[in-house]
Amino acid sequence: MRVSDQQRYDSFMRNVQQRLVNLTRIQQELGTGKSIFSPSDNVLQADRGLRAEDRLASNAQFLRNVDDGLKWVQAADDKLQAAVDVLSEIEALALTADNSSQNADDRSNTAIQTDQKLEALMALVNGSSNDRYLFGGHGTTAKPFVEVRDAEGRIQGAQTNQDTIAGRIYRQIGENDDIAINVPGDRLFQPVGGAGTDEDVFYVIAALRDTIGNNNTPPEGSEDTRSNEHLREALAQIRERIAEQQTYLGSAGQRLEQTKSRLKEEAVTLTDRLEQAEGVDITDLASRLSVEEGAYNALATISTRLLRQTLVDYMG
Amino acid sequence: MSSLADILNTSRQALRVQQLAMQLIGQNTANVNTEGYTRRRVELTTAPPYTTDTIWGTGNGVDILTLGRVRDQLLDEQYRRSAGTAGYWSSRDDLLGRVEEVFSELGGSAISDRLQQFWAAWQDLANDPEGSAPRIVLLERAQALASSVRRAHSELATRHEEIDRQLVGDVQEVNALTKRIAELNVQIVRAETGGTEASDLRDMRDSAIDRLSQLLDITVHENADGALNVYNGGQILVQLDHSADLTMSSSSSNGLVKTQVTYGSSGRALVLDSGEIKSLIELRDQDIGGVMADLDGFAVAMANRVNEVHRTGYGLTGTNGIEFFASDDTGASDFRVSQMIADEPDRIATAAADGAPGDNSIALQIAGIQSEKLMRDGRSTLDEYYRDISLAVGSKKSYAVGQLAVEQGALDSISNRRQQVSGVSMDEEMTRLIQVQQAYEAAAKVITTVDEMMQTVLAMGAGA
Repeated sequence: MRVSDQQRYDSFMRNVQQRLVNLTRIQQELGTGKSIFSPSDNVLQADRGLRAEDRLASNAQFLRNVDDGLKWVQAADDKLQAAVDVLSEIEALALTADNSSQNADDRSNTAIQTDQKLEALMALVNGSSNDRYLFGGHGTTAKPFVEVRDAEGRIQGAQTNQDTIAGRIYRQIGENDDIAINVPGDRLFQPVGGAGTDEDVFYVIAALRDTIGNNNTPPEGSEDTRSNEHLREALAQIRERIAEQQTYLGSAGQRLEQTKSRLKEEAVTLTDRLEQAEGVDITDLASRLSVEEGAYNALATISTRLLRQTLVDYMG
Repeated sequence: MSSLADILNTSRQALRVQQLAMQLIGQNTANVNTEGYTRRRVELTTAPPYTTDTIWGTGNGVDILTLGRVRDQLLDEQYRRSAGTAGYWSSRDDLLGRVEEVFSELGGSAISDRLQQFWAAWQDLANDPEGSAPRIVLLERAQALASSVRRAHSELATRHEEIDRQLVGDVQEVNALTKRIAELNVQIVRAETGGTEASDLRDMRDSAIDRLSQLLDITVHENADGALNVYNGGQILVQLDHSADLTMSSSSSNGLVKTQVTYGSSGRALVLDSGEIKSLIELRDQDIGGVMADLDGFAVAMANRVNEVHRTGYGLTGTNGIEFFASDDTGASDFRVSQMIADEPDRIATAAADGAPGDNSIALQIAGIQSEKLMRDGRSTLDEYYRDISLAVGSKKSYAVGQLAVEQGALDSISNRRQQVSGVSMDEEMTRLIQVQQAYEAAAKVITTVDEMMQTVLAMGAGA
């Protein structure tokens, strides 16, 4: 077999180039911690990596949604618990006022206390979180319950925006998985069209206050509907209704917490999957680097010695 | 019986022949690194007798039997077949790499990232539909997405133009090469009329044919007079002194110029089985054209569906029925956020009814488009569809890389074998140098000795 000089140079250049390509690749992988730089490097791995990246991004978004939902649910639950406590206190005051041992002055004082409780409740039903009203349904930017006061400035009831008060607010916590994070005000304090009825907490408390203040005597002609006892029962039912909605918030909170845990676990799995798809195996890289380095050095040493030698060196 | 003068003649011829051999050694060593150079070799033979009645059989010295290039025609044919295929895959590998760069999906700034951020911005807006900040963020993300899609389309259009320009360049090169081969045919036939091989001219012609074979699928036939005919399929590219010009015509479609190549004389299409030109035409018309159509499909589907939902919703300003993206039907080249939204982000619809700022149902519905199977007859989401576009390019590139490795390996192997036959070896040349030098010195010594013998004879005459 003949070997021409061009062959020797070409062969050397080809081999050196290949080794340099391999070394550069290893250097890139070490530098970036990634084993894939473009889909063509490994289409299937790139596909897995891109899917994992997409799912990680979605997962992070769902986690943000869950956290936001949890804040809302917890804030609403706190306000509702405070409201339930106020209602219990009003019920206790009414029960005391219903006692025959109470005189008119006592009852007048109880009425004043009840009125203060109603004012406190009004602040709670218009509670907000992050500048958004919690119980206004879709009407989150305007006060959901606007009190109606008599000439003496005492609350007689409240008006709501009937179009927005019943609105539910949702958060997406998974693919095709939404959860309502709010309890609309109509389910709590005043149903749509229920103003001035036994289901209207503002009307019931205002009526109770007035009955107690009137020495526990309902207005004439309304003995059945505005008696202390009747109104107390109505209030107890409203309180139970609110407690039921609290239960919903509690279960929503639990679901959000569980979802959060699941999403966090998934994030770990997805990160692992992404690492497997795109990440580098340092041990493998170190071993490849060692092999390539050795090969390059051997090639350079042998080839430069052989390429330099020709018969010319031995001619006189 | 030969005279001293005959011996002088024989030695003079030997000197001439060895000098020529030395000249070839010089030529070979001078061109040891010259691309396309074929080593020259002289083969010697015993010089024929001047007359047939030579009695003593002492002979007439040395003569040249052959002088020319050392080349294997079979290897040349193999090389040209392989060069066409390798040229095809090499060009395809290079250009698909440039198309893949447009998407650079794993680089962190690609469309799929922007797409994710776009959907996330809708979710963030759904979490805070009353706020202006998430609307501004959404607008910025939507504009970034639209800009990325437009940029990808524009870069693909640029690649299309680059490939078209390269095609024009390649066709011009084919015409220049065929013309050059035809000219060399004439010069070679003329130069070889006397029986001497026109080695340099043949080297030039072989180099031109080698390059032509990378561009186009060709077959070559050499005539007895030394001229070469070159064919592409059944079409004659070069016949003796005539070369067929390829002609180009331009057409325009969707703002993109497309060059068509035909045979000038007949208007017939090129036969494209291999070569760089086949790769360029395929990439331009099928690969890039296909990706651009897919990107258009993505932009149209995205605008259609988002607008469809957006039109049903209400923004903070109470506006209803407006589009989020500029148009339903515009492709990727003009994919942008509608001016109404860009001017006033509070017009972004999040609620199903007016005056319900906390209602995020429309925002959630639009965010939910991310998981809707809108593409490929309900088999892919928009994200999956886009991802498949970039993966398909990567897959083609990956295949081209593999094919190129195989074809380049085959070409290198043939090239290596060609070098074995035709390449210059310095060691070989140096060995021959010693050989020729010694032969030359020996012939010179014979002449010196004969000269001394003649002096002796002349001295004998003077003594008488």
